[in-house]
Amino acid sequence: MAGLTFLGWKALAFLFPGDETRIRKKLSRLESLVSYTPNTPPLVHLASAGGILEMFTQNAELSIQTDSSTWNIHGRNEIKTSVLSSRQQERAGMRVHITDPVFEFGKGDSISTLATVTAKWESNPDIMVRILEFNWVKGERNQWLISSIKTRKDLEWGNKL
Amino acid sequence: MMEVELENKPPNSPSFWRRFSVGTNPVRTWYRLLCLSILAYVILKYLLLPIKVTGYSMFPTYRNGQINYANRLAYRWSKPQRGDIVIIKTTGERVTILKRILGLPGDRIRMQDGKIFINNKELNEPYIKQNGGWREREIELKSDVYWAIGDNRAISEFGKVHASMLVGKILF
Repeated sequence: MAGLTFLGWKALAFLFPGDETRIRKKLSRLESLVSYTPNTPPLVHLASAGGILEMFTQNAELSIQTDSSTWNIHGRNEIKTSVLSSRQQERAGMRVHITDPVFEFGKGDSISTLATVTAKWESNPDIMVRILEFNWVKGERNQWLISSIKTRKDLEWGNKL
Repeated sequence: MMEVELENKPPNSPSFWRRFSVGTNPVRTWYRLLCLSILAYVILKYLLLPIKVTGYSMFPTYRNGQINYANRLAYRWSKPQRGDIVIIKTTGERVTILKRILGLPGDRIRMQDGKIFINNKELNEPYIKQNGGWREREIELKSDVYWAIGDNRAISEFGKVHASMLVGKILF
């Protein structure tokens, strides 16, 4: 009986996932779309860029600090241009991992997620680690879309300082 | 009277492969395996955190690819000391940051031409190869707040770290 209840509960969770589960799935999809291997054909890059765009609101804002600069990107068009041009520049491939998301539920239809994002380029043994804040809003058909991504300082991201 | 002749057979001894895989007493072997698994879980969950160094921000002290462990109990009964190499958690413990603690709570710390001054006194750092030339205005650390930086000053980040973010001290 206990086993059946457990299975039923799991089935319900699978069929009607909560907001947190849906966002976790979106983050893993984003992770796989942003990563690419060397010698990826241009059409695949284009398809990935399209997939990435679908995850953002029309006027999404990105502010991501890299080691040497800060990417300030506004809107879907700029996101697409940035994705394609960065892949053009760095053809050797990149692997991105989004780990340990922490959820902060806001008022109404907004959720903020803090996650550790690591990026490793095939051409560089060093790894970039950033704590990114993803802000989500509900779009059409109750889909969660990213409205903004901001960088929190790695060592000082907690609010206890 | 009938005589029963007992066969003089040796007792059933398990085959070599069975003895190799589960031992002569399988129940005892499984019990040992269970105990070892629990022990490994407790050690890795509460005592040691295995880490693999990725990148060169702690070069030359630690190199890319080195395996090490964080002692999770290092700061349970004592406070971090200046010069300790610590593991700092990010939003979780799957990705951690390896840095050296240089500023302690209450310290005033600044960087000038790559040299670090703590309470207006220059810090002697024999473990670094180049100082990176950083310049940062003076800050004062609150209680339970430390200041950490990597040994490879050319590329390492630095900043304040709350005590709650420290996972432990590197083992060796």
